[in-house]
Amino acid sequence: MTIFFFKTSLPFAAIALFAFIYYTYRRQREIFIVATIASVLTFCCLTIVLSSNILTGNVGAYVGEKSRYLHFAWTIMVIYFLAEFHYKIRLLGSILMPIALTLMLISMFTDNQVPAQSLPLGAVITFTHVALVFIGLGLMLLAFAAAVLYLLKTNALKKHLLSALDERLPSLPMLRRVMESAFYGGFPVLTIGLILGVVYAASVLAAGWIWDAKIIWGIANWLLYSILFFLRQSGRLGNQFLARGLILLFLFVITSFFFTTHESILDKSNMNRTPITTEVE
Amino acid sequence: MTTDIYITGINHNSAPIEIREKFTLDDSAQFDALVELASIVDEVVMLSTCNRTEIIYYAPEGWQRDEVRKYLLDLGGVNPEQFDTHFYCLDQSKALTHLFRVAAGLDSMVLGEAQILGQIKSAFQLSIDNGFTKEKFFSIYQHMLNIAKTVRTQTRLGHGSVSVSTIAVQLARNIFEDLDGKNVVLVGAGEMCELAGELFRKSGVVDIRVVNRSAHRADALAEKFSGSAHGLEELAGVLADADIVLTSISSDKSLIRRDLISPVMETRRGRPLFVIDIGVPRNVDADVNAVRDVYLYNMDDLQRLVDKNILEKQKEALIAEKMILRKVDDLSRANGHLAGELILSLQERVGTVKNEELAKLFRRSKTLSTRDKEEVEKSVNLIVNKILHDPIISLRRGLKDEDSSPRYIRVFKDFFNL
Repeated sequence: MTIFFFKTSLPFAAIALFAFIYYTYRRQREIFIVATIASVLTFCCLTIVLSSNILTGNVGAYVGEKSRYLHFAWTIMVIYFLAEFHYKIRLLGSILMPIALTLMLISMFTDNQVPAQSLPLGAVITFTHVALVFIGLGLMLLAFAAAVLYLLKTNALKKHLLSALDERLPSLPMLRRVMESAFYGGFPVLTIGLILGVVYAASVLAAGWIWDAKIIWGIANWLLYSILFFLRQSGRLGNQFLARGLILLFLFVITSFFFTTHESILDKSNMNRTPITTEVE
Repeated sequence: MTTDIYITGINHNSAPIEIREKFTLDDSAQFDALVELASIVDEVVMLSTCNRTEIIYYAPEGWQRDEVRKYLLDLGGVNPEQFDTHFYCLDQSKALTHLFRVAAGLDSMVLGEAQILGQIKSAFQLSIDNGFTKEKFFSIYQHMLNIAKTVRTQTRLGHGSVSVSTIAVQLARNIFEDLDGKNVVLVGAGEMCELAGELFRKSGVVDIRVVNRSAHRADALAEKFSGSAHGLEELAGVLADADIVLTSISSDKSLIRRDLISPVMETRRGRPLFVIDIGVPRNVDADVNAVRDVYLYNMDDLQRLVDKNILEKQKEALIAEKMILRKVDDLSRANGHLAGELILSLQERVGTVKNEELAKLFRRSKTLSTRDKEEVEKSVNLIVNKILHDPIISLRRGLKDEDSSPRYIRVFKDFFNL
């Protein structure tokens, strides 16, 4: 059943991806409606796939390679739908949804190698760690999307472009609100998620885990995020610098995400301790 | 659906205000005019706005149209030459195209404005409520609403201001979202500052400060807006609290320079400042725009945005024109289908009569052989076809001219009782 729903979601995802990108060029309501309907259908299919995996009791499905992409895509979609419902900024979808849908498409070409889970407690911690990290990163992506729009709007206003008057590109205060809310919300969530991950890794993995690429990149991301957070909180980071900082952070996170995907701590753990793996759809 | 419609009218393009105002009617005069016109034509709607007076009517007979002309000559007290110079008389698809263009805002003074649609809806509603229109115009009304809505939703014709003042307020809304509680500083106390102050006050701004060389004039203007007056030497201090600054003061050198604004912006912690310089010569140095969180627009910048908006609207207008032409074409083609159905029903009707009469003849003449019957039938068929040939050819020819096609259809129906 999960395979069926996953395959069903892909054409919808492709339509939504195309429609959201096309909407940036020709900002027509009809195109947005098509994009939204397609993305809602994608989301529904994806929810069924992921729920089914988790309800079958296979918690490992949550941390598998393929599932990680799908869960992250799902989290981004939830965050986008909530943001769109609250702020009504259609162009957010044109930035966020292609990221989510691209992750889904990437998952098609990824094997779902997952480790056998030994401790129920470990499984719960891993589950919470992954969920919090995804929510934190999802919020950071939302802040990134708002930052891009903020810089576009500022640029249009500064250079006296016609898009400065375009009501589909929201006002500066509105974009700043979205950017700040997501930025401030994402940081504590991501921090707690990373702490849980570190605690779990330290307790169950072999010595030397700290030098794992994933841990290093994760900490580097968090450090960059916390620098931005600190500077903003202390009033030393203006709106435009925050927007630029968020774009830099996004590029850093995306780079590290792809660098560490195939060199995960779990794979290393498997090599060191438990060579048992299972295939999950 | 029919394209059987006539429009006689004047608008801002065809007539100067001296002529137009003679035909501008208030509600009661408009109703009286409708009563008069309804006694002349079959169906009528009257649109009277400050920019146009149009009578939209259905008058199949030529004398009816002449009477409408006479009525208008009497109504406005103009002579026939003036009438012919300034009035346009459109019929059939040209009238329908015009009506759709008016409803879509393509014929308005401000391209794409939406107010006209409300006015035209009220005009139709008045005629519908009082029985001045029948089924022909119900259909036209629906199609008009439909195309106007399509143009509004599928093009950006209705978007974008074409006045400098509206654009300035729009820009302010894009920078601040809500103008309530914002602090406006007017540098200068002349007429332009007064107008700008009025505009901002209407947009929700409450706190207006006036900075001027002459304290007397600054006080007078500040009092008008219940604001405060300041001298030029207080400018830097006033700017520190300002959200929007509008300058229009005669000065040989710039009043607001980068070295003045940079320290001010340092203290504002990212709070944006929108500066509108409408002074000539300019009151604000151009490089002030380079200061972070300052958005400087001078008169030329605003005018350029107006021009861009006009250009965008013109592009969208071309798309809208195509939509309207397509719609009118579809409706005209629907007339063509109607004509085809008419020919078919005529052939069926004649065929039924012919068959009945032949059956009667064959019943009476029992001596006729089968071969004779076939010959008779063949001859009757030839006669019927020859008789029908000319009217059908005329109808088909008439339909090629879309303006005259409704008349042909009507005559065809009347002649053959279809």
